[in-house]
Amino acid sequence: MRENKIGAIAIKCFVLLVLLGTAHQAMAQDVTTHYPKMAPIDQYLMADQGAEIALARSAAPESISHDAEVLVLRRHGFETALKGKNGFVCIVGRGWSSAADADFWNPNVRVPMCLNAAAAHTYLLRVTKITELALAGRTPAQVNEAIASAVARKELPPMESGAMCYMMSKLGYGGDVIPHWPSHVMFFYSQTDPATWGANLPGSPILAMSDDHEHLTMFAIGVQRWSDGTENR
Amino acid sequence: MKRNQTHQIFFNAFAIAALIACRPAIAQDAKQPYPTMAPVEQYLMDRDAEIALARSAAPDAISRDASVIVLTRHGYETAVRGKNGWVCWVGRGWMAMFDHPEFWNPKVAPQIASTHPPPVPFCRTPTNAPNYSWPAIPNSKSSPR
Repeated sequence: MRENKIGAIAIKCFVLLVLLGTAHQAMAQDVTTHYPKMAPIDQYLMADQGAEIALARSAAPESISHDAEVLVLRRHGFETALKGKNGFVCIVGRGWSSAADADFWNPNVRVPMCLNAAAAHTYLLRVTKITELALAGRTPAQVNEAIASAVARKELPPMESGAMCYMMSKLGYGGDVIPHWPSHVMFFYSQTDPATWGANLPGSPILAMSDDHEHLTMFAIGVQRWSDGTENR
Repeated sequence: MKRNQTHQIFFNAFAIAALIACRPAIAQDAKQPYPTMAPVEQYLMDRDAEIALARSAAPDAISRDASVIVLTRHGYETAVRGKNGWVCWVGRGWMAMFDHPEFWNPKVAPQIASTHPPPVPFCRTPTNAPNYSWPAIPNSKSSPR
């Protein structure tokens, strides 16, 4: 039941909400069989640290990412590769935290994101926690339960006011279900009614998804350009 | 009170950003074209036109059931009572900073729709509305970008 409801984080919900229609649920179920279990850890890592740093930074315009801290994935979780000085943190999310459920173990997923300080203090902790659990070999169900429990016990903090992230890279790979995400920015709230933003209503450019288990509501707004300034088409 | 102050600050900041971002050429070319207040009538609009303009700030799904306030000689008054918590209104030039060259420009009319609570306004003007669009659902695993 839990697995059927929501993925480990709201990004998964967002993917399903925005880009998957009912007709594509069958497709998602099909690709589930492609990644039934964890691949060798090396496949989730990027051998070239410089490439991972560049990919992470591509999530936001250079004026933001240039001075951002950058985390890269190691065998046991994310580690700081570059110290920043503007409060932003850029990372490349993997399937277990940043893709549809069917791509949880897809080793090819690379989703760049740059989070502001408020999100780094809150939302990023969930991403890194999920990553550590996944790298330790926990199943998706176990990861979901662990995160929900940590949120309930307040081991993972609620979203901080102003928490947001840039996801404007055109270089990432979102997985087999959603190979390429549109350029967008996201805002994180602790369980907020999407209706207060007018989200998900016809004609509204704001998309939202709430995850009751994680007490998390995420809003996404598409933007016109990629982080490199080119048109988002 | 604090919430109202927050709203005011937010709205002011938004108006400033809109004026700066949306009308840079005007701001640069005309240093002080509106040094003093124009006659009050010039800031007022036809009531129905103002309601329609205010509602144009948001998609119909939001603005249709929103309250609408319109400017009268002494301030904003409720013209339409809504039922979804949103409030649509048409701002004027004095929403900007006191020394902004458009402060007294009677033609400034950004449309704003906001909720209460929390304050979440957004503005879409006909001339510079971003062309938000999300890509089509991928129809295969190898869908090209």
